[in-house]
Formats: sequence, C-alpha cells, structure tokens
Amino acid sequence: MDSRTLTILDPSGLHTRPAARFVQVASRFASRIVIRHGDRSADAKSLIALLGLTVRPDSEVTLEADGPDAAAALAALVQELAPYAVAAPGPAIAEPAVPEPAVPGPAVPTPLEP
Amino acid sequence: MSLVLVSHSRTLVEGLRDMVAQVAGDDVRVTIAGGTEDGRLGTSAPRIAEAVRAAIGGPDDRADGVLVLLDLGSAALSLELALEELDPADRAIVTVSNAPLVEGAVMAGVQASVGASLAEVARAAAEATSIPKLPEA
Repeated sequence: MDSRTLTILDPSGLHTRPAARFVQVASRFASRIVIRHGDRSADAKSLIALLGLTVRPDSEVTLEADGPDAAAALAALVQELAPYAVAAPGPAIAEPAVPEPAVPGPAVPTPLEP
Repeated sequence: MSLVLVSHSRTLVEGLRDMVAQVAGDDVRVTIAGGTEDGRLGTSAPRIAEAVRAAIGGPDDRADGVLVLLDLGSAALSLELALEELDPADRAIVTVSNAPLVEGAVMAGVQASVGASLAEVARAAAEATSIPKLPEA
C-alpha cells in the first residue's frame, strides 16, 4: 500500500469544490483509495464521505492507495490538491503496520504567506 | 446520466444548475423546471414534463438514467402529473429523489460526473440528507 501525507492549507479546509475534483480524479483509478483525517477515514471516491470528514485548515490528511495503479493515483491526487495543500516530501511508502508514514527531514507545513 | 431540478422558483434552479455545473463539469446534462408557465412562483406539470424529456434526450443522445430532484410541497404533485405523461420506456429510466434539493443536486452531479449508474447517483443524493451544515464542534 502506498501513502502520502498532506497538510491542508486552504482557509476553508477541504470544501466542496476541491473535494468534488478530488473524487473525480480518484474515480479514474482502479485502486482502493482512502483518505484519513485523525481517527476517521473516508472512501476517496465518495463526495459524501469526504465532506463528512470536515477537514479543517492546517490539519493533516493521509492518502492511502491500494491496488495496481496506487502510485499513479497518489501522484495525481497530490497534484490535484496542490492549490489547497502541502505534501510531505517524497513519495513515502508506508509500512502497513506503522500508523504514520515516515517523513524524512523537517516537517514541511509551510504557512501560507498573506 | 442526467439530472432534472424542479423548484417553485426559476432563478433558484438556474443558480443551482450553475453550482452543479461547477462541480460536475459539462458532461452531466442538467435541465430545470422552475416557476409557473406565466412566470410566477409555483410548479407546472407541463414544464416539468418538458424538462424531464429534455433530460432523457433523443435517439442520438438518450440518457441511461435521469434523477429528478425537487423542492417543497406541491412540486411533488406537479412532478407526479408530469411523469404520468411519459411513455413507459421513458418513465422506466426516471428516478425521483427524496433528497434536499441543493445538497442532493451537488452530490448527484459529482457522482454522475464519474460515470456512475442511476442507482449510484440516486444513492449519493439520498445520502446528502445526512450532511451536517456546520462542522462538528
């Protein structure tokens, strides 16, 4: 399973429009894709589930993809979220047993410049 | 997949159609029926029937499913009358959603934009009933 962690920076959090685009991109891939936020998770192909996560600004989400096109799916989704979020560096491959993916170097979240 | 938005107000469904287009893109056909035939607030069975037929399309662009979303009160009665006018083959591909109009239309639009079936789109709209307006405290 591949995973990437991002910090949502958009002042509105993961709101309807980016969430809708996110669902559309996720739906192009065969892999099962899950977005985790705190102790909750949602199917990345369901807008209702995503909005139900109520992702606030400055909070972390982790994308997990499992399937034949998992790496491509994560790359596309990170790119899709680029205007709204900052990704932790590098395509980290998470160990399934480890709750948080290893993030090399200093934590990234760069605050949005005014 | 096509959506039909039914309301007492023409401007309400015009605005909602814009919202759906923004999240769902141009691939989802959305038709509207708002207001009476003489431009007042209200619903009109002939206008709804016209919108449903436009959503179904013709031989060249026939939709494989149509989900109808509606607002309050007599909209349901007018819709029922409109659906009675349809040919059975057309009526068979039309599902009416019990979802709240705005949330249901946006959810259904996104689901339709990813190529989902009528049943899946109807389910997405139905789930919109439970979307909280405010983030959890």
